[in-house]
Amino acid sequence: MRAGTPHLQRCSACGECTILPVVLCRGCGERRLEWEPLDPRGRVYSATVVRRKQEQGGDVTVVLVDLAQGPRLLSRFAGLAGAEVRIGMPVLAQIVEGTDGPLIVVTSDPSA
Amino acid sequence: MIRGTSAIVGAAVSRLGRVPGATHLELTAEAVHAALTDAALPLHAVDGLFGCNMLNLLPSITLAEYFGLQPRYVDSTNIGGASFIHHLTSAALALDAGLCSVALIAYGSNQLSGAGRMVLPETLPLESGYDVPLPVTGYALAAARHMHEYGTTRRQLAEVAVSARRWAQLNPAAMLREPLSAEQVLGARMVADPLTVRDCCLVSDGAAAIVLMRADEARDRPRPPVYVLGTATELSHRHIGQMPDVTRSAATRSAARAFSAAGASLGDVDVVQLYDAFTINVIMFLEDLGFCPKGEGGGFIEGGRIAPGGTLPVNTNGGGLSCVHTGMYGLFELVEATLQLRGEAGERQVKGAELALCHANGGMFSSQATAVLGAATTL
Repeated sequence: MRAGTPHLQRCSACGECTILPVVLCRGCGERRLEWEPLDPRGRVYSATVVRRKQEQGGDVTVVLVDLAQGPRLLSRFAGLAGAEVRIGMPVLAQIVEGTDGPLIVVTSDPSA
Repeated sequence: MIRGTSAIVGAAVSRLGRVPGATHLELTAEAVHAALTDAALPLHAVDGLFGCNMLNLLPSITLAEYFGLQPRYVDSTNIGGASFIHHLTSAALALDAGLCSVALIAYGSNQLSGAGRMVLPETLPLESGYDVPLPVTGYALAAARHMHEYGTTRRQLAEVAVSARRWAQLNPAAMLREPLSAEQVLGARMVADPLTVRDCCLVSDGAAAIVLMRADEARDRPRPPVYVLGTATELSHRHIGQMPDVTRSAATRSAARAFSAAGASLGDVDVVQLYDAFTINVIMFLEDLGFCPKGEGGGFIEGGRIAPGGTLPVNTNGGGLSCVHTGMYGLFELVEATLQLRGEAGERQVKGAELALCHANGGMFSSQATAVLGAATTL
């Protein structure tokens, strides 16, 4: 999330892509990671509606998303009720301002 | 390598459930005293100290000071609820190498009477910002995916909870003992789909302790030794988003290594203790440990197969779902396996149990540790 747009790292030695910021490539151990912009496209890998009290923010749909670039991301689904979110559904990732800083959330991908 | 070189000579739990007014160390001391009494050993015979908890940053030091010990060897590796089976490996190696002669593994928690819930001292950079409760969210995502891929049903998840409760009804020390039906599990308050509160483990106070010695010395203790036949630990990820496949845990690898070390196979197992923080865990671990093919765990547990009277006794104390879950459950599995292999489990005793499998988990399917324990007849 450098400079306000989401980035992830790709190893220029082996091509491994990571969403967890690291110094050494977890695929090959080399220190040749480059930042690249996040491709916002992905698909829902799993989904749950976490039930929270209203004062805690109410129910929230939490998803695991397989990003087009490879990594998997825990995220929040915005704009659809939990029951409408399906595994396999195409989504788009975007940055929003969370309570403790920027967060990646996903919405359904109208173009897919 | 370490097969049969060391044995559990004492094992005990403290009061379990809601135990107001006791710190985690006071509860730990209760279990330690009972385990050492079981082994007929004085506190100061302990020269190897193992254990950790979720409250102390430097648990070995805190425990050593609290018990007035100057241990020759310590290990407080913290890999979550699987830590204590890992400590079992460490204790067996240390005993075999002569680094210590009486090893104590101890753990306690007052999470129910203290905070009233599990408190995690650490945030995860990628996953804590969403303000959802971890680890339950991670397990719910695994359960949802398991249902999607293999057709596992909520009713099958519920039957895991029902089986655990039926065992708990045979255990006077279990926290929840009233009858529980699948309908009650399904109709309970939803926490995170598909898991209701009855698919989730208890929040309890409690402590457990075990004492180990080298096999040649264990034979002189009053209780029948329970031998460490094989153990293994595996790690796979910290964040749930970093788990390669949320329906497959590293238990496959830890179990293969533990059974290989033990020279045993699944068919030899008489009684099973699994880390049932959530109902999905039991289904996944039965698959990953090899009791049934991947995806068939839901069908496997149907018809009371893992309940009292079933062909595979699982979580005979009532498990984390109905007996006790203090935040880190694994040590309670080792105590229950010990009682079963000594034939001391009362109404819930599995007749003639000689070989026990304990499998523990930590984090969000993050760490997996397997132990194969046996009575003297298995050596």
